[in-house]
Amino acid sequence: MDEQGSLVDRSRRGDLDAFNVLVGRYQGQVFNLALRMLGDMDLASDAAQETFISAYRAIGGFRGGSFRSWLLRIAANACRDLLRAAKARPTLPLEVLELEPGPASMSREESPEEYTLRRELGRLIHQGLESLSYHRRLAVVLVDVQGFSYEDAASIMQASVGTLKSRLSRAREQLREFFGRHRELLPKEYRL
Amino acid sequence: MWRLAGPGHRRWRRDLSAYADLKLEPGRRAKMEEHLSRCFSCRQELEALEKVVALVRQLPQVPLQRSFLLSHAPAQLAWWGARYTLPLRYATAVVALLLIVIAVGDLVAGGSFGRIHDVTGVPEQQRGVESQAAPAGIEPTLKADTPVPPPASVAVTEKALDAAAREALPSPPPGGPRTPRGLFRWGEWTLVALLAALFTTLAVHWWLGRRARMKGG
Repeated sequence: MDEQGSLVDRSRRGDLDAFNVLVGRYQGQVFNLALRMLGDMDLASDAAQETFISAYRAIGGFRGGSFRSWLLRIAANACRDLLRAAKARPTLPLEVLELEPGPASMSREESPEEYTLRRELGRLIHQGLESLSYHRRLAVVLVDVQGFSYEDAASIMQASVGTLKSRLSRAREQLREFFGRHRELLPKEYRL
Repeated sequence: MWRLAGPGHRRWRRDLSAYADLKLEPGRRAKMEEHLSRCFSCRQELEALEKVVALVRQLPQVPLQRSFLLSHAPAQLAWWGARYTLPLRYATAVVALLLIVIAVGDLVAGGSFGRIHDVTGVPEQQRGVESQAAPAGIEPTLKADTPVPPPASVAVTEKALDAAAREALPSPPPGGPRTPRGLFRWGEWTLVALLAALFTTLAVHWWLGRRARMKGG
């Protein structure tokens, strides 16, 4: 049994320290997936926390295979539940409030103007993502933002590779149309 | 704004995304490359697609602002909890659907449960009138709608008539009559049994889950 398998096995038997090792490994991916799906730092934190609590409770049902895919599947479902709840009770706007931390994230090599433009571009890209349906958004976030292979992304989405290809193709087409309507906001090299 | 040349390009457009990711099967990739060498609009579409992908990939990985390590252990579901919850939901949905079908069928069939079936098909009142008229030579002195107990000879004739009528009718097949009402009666009993089994299972599931939660603290 490899190290991860051993950690999962110990987690099943109630070893919280073993489970927290797994949390430490995957919390970055889980949080970023939630952030790109929900567009809000606080909501993404809620989704990530809910993901790990649900994963710990349900780890008895994990039947082997990719633990990462299983965990991210739980994260995607947590995001979907939060999106539905937010639409049912629109107290929090779904628009992007803050995607990145404040000026502390500015790199030393870039000017304030470049930093501002980069943040504005990030906001525009996220508005484009927000215009997609849940499944199409998930496909783009997993493949284009997070860099998963088609097979891993399909496993996380519990869909076939063919379905993923179709969703990804339509999502990209929709994004092309969105960016085409806002081409003046895009850097020159990305203008469509 | 890019526009493809016509509806014939739709099938090529569907494959452009996978082609850009090098995820097309070799045969289709070769055909796509051959098509792209001849079609300017599809080449433009591919270029636009690649820009979109490059743009979305600009989104950085955001560093964590906090840790998500668990400070205390939430109660774990028992091994059967995650495994059987979903099948139980499906079973509940199926039984609920059966309940609706049976209830609707019962209403349509006129509510068959508990009603006595008349095997001969002859209404009782009519049998009483016919038996008054059956013996030859006796003039009916009473009105047809006056209930009169039939004489013994008439009662024997009535029994013989009923027996003959029953013999003439096809005997019901074993397992119950195949009328719509009969089928729905069987369905109702089956549904009651399924509901009882389902509720018992749900009750056990709930009790075991409660025990597990109490142990987890």
